[in-house]
Parts: sequence; C-alpha cells; structure tokens
Amino acid sequence: MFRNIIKRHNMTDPGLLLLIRFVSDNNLTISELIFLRDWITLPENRETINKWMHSIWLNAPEKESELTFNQLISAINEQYYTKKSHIFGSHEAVQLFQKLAAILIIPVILFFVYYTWIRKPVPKNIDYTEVIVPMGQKSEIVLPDSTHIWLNSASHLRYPVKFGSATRDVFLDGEAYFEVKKKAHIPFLVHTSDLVVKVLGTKFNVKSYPDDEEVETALLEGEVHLQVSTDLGKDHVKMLVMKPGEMINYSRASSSVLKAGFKADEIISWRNNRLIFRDDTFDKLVKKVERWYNVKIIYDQALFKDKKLTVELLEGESLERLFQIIEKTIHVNYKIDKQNIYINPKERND
Amino acid sequence: MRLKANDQLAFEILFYRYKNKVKGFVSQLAPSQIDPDEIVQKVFIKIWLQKDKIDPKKNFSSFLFVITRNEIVDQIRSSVYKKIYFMGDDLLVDLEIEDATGQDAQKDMEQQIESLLQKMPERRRQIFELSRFEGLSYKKIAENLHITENTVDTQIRNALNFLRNEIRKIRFFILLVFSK
Repeated sequence: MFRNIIKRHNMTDPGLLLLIRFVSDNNLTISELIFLRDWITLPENRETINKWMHSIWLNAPEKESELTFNQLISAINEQYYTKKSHIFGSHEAVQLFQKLAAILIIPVILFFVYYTWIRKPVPKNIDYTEVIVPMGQKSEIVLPDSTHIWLNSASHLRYPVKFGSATRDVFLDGEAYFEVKKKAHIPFLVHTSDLVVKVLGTKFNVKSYPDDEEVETALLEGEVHLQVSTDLGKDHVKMLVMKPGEMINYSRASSSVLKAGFKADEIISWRNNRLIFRDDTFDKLVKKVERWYNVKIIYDQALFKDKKLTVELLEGESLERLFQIIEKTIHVNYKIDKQNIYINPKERND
Repeated sequence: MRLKANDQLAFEILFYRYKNKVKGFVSQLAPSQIDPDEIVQKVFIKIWLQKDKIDPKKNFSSFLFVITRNEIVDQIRSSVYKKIYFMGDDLLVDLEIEDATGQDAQKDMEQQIESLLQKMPERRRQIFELSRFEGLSYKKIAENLHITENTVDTQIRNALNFLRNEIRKIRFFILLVFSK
C-alpha cells in the first residue's frame, strides 16, 4: 500500500521515505530517527507531509471505532470542565433534552409497550454475595470495586459477585457506612426498602432497619441523589440531591422527608465502636441497644413515652455501664437476666 | 452541519458519521504503541473545543482532516523523540549506566521505564515526558504548565532519581538471579 502511494506521488524525499518506514515498520536506526526528527520539525517539509497524509485520508478505508459518544463526553468533561460547568449545562441541557425527547419518544413508547405487555419478564441470573451481621457484632467489607463498607449490628447486605458495567447495585437492610470508590460512569446504588441512594463516589451513612420508623441518610463527602418512593405508589419517585453535612430522614409512616444537619461523630461513632444517643427517644435507644449488645429489653412503652436521653459511651463500654448511667439519669430500676433486661420506673418512695 | 450553533446534537451526529473515517486514517499512521481509538477521541475533543472555528459554509471533512492530521503529526513526532530517547545515549546518561546493552536489553529497559513512569505522580510524569519524549526545553515546559523553571528542574531530578533507583534495583536483582 505504501509503495503505491510513493509511486503515485513520485516521492523521493528521503525524509518522507523515512517517515513512511517509521509508520509502517518502526525499525529505524538511531541515525535515521535523528534525521527524521529534524526533517519532521522543519516548516518547509510541512507541505510534503500534508500532501502525503491527504492522499492517505482520501484512500484509507473506514474502520469501526469502538468509541461511543458518552465516552467522548465524559472525557471532555473530565479534562476541560470543572464539576460545576459540564458541557451539558442547564440551558443547553434543556434544549438538548427537548430535541432528544422528540427523537426518542417513539422508540421509548415502543420499548415500554414491549416491556409491559409483550415481553414476559425473564429473571436475570446474577450471583450475589450476602453478608449478614448478627446482633451485637459489626463487620467491615471491601467490594470488588474497592468500595469500603462498614456494617453495623443486625444488618444485611447483598451485592453481586461481579458488578455490571452500567451500575453497581447493593441491597441493604440495616445500617452501613459507605466509602464508595469513584467510578465516573458507573453509579453506585444502595437499594433499601424505601429509597435508593445513588452516588458516584462519596462517603455516606445509611440507616434503614426494617423495624425503625425512619430511614436516615447522612452525607459526609461528595454528592448523592436520593430516590424516594412516595405514597402515590411505586412508579412515583422523588429525586433529592444531598450536600455534604446534610441528613435526610424519610418517614415510613407518612412517606415524607425531612432535611436536617448532623454531627459527623455521632453518625459514624458506631464504626469506632462507640454508642451515642443524642436526644433520642427511649424507644429509639432501646432499639439501638438491642442491636448493639444483642439483648432483649422488656419495658412498658407507655411509661417511657416522653423520656429523651443523651448519653455518650466510650469505645467498647459494657452494657452494665450503660444501664448504670440510664438508671441514674431517668430513675429506673433494671435487672439483667442473661439476654433479657427488665426495666421499670423507680418506686416513688425511694 | 449546524455545529456552529453550539449544538451538542449536531456534534453527536458528526461524531457517529465520521469516527470510523478518522479511525481508518489513524490506524494507518498511528505509532504502534498508541491505541488508534485514543487518537480518535483526542481528535473529537479538539473539534469540540474549536467548534467556533467551524465554518458552516465550508466542507466539514477538510476541517476534520486538518485537525486529525495535526494530531497524528504530533503523535508521530513525539513517538520519534521517545524512540530516540530510548535508543540513544540520553537514557543511559540519565540513568548513569555506562555499558552499552544489546537490542533485547534495550527493549526491556523501554518497557521497564514505561511501567515505572506509571508509578510516578501525574504531574511529575507529565513534566518528564515533555522534556525527554517531546524534546521541550525547561523554559517551554515552565511556560506551558504555568510553573517556574525551578519546579521543572526539581521535578525532572526527582523523576530521574526515582528511575535510577528502581532500575538499579531491577538490575541488582537480575545479577543475583543469573550469578547463581
């Protein structure tokens, strides 16, 4: 092929011949390379190079490129734009979205028709790993993508043996602290019974015990998107964007969300093996303690309804010590009988 | 084409229409160690960045050719520089190695250096490559990267020290293995 090009252009320039040899077999001697280096840099040889390349441009057959537009866009965003001003900025995004929407609407409708009425769902065969942390214990795992997860007591995490190429999905019951490894194009999704937390790479804590009234998500670093189901049913979801330092409490009873701040030490204290209650209701405290120490607390809910407690334990302190504190602060008697703890208000006369 | 109107959709259409054309051209000219798709990506990034220069009245294909050609010439030039660096005395001088080694040994060294470069901090590697592989002067590098010449000098020194130490370790290890 190169011979043809040489003939057609009757090229005898030694520099060009070296250049042609360089791109075809790359076996030049050191002195030839030095000659080529100087030749290629001289401005008067530009025209020769351009002509030669143009003939290749015209004659080269097309070759399938694996590159996709999405990859290209992410590369542009990564290299030339800060996080705040992606090339799909708000104004342009709307325009583009309208155009895309117009083009895509028909295939999308067809797709949905196909999925809802025609296609029978085929269960995808994905192998999952399950981590079950019993009451009274904690666990720390590293996923295949080197995301780091700490699991609190009585938690259950399910994740695929191998992550797919589009998303990284994990399923959580209980409480976990995540340090998600950043992967620009593969969002990390934490699915809980009521909401989905979507991130690219951040540090955050999710607390979603089936027997709690609320689901708490606290963000320490980066950005997360919360996808919350509403009382309108499964297809109506609300998207919320969280900023660092924010905590969102989702109430299961009312399907509503409440934005609040938090103290980082309080949220992740469990990771350091510290139990902290800050203005917690007695019910909330009981649930934490039961999970933490793997015990059952027996008490009359009505009697403790209005009691709130703030207690900060040191690392790894005992159950006994906790109840000594509780006994003094809210005037109760307690009795520990193996796994069971009985709590009663103190008699008035003592 | 309506790329002029800051239109991403037009850009996407252009991309899909021409990416295979660019790949075909690039595949014939790209230095062997470079993935042609990487160059295709660079070309389209440049087009995006220079979209204001596109004249809708003129043929887009010739604009595309100029961008692609310039990119490939840059790639070839830096590949030539790199080759000279690896084959010539410069590397041996940099590494303070005296004995001239054979062809195979030189190929090995090339691979070792390439993989050692990956272990360097991004900035240091970039400065080292601009100096040794692209043949830029310290002054030029300083200007391009908006840093002082002193910083360039320090970074190159650090890079060379790192390479020397690592290569010495490897050579010492080879000596140990072969002297047994």
